Amino acid sequence: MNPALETVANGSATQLVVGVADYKVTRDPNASLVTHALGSCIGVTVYDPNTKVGGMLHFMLSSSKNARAKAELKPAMFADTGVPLLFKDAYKLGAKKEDLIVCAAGGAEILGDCECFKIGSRNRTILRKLFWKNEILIASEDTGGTRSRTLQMNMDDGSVEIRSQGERYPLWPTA
Amino acid sequence: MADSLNQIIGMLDRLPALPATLMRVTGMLADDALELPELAAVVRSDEALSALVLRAANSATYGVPGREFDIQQGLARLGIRNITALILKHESSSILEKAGRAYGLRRKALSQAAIGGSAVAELLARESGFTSPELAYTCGLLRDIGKIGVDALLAARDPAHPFATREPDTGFLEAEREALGHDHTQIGAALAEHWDLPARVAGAIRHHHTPPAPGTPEHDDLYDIVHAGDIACLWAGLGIGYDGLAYEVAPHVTKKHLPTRQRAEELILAAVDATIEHDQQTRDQQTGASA
Repeated sequence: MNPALETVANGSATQLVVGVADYKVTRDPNASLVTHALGSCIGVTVYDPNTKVGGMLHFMLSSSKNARAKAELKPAMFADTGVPLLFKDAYKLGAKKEDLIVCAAGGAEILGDCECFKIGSRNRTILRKLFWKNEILIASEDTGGTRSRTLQMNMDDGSVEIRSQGERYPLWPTA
Repeated sequence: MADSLNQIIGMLDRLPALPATLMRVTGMLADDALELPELAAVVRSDEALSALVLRAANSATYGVPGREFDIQQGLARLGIRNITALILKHESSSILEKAGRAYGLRRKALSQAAIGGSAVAELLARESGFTSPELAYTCGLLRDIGKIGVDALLAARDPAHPFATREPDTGFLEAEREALGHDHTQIGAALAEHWDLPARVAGAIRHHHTPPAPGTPEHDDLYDIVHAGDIACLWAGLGIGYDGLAYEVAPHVTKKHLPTRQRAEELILAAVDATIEHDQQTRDQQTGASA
């Protein structure tokens, strides 16, 4: 079975940690999904409130074009290979595209970044392009700046929270 | 008023001692005296290291199915490079694993960043023909050792986390200097000198965020390489907490080691690959040990 796909666990609260270049999808209402220390990487969450299917991806770079072999081994490293996987696996567990609530966080930059890098900003741009091409709207996002962010989604209601610099604030639902 | 660095070092009585083996191997590296018999003697004198070498030599990464290597064969099989890396990772992990509380870091986050940064530093050293890739590796591993000192200093303070509420998007070294009078690079270098680590290792720790430009008396290719490794880790999110990515890239290092975004991306992947590989090796060795 695909290790990224989690169905329903044993009923007790479970925290599923999504590592760097990793993704997980579940329909366990007792679970929460968390990914730590998003720098220039981006964390994407999807949640279908009707089926309570949700998932989280922590991708590092926007495009796998220059690293095909790595993308084969770890597709979640890249937006162009990881995002389709996240959505496909959510659909496998019963999520419907039209019902998905999509959030994104991360994409930070080094201080005073010269125009030659923009790793975080490129990650944000390519993600938006990918969503735009597939007619997917981002419900809420917290991206850019120089912050490190930890992203958490609770599977009972799909609420998404950010922890950053000692603060904790909701990403979805928005106030 | 800020305490002098010597006063700070004197106050750090809660710090764990730097493992003697780490000091010994780092000294051998800096003196260019790293040979297999000397390394073997270090390993044999330490029960935990001997077990580590045995597990590594018989793990899925280095082993041969159906064959078991003893310590002598294991040392020969792993070679100088792998044994050095094993010793340094093991010894530095023992002091870095629990460090980083002052930065809001989870356990092992700082040792992961050490592994990612050391791998990039070693890679850049090999590619650029730097004389000692192993020294670059060591400096990458130890570059954030000053954060252990910052942890100890802030543990006794109120508020214990002055960095949590810092102004966003301002330089983090300034925030540290404002709170403590010194930043983690200065405290780290002072600790390295206090522990009698070689001068270039202390220099790499001092300059890993601000490497002196070529043409200045303090410039050293080693510091540039360690700085580039650190930046790759920041992008990858390794070891970042309240500081986030609030550090700058030195322009001459951009020019030499990070000339294009594609190159930067390769180094980010190298940093993360090293941490993934390390986790896998740790799992292999644990599996081997329990089998």
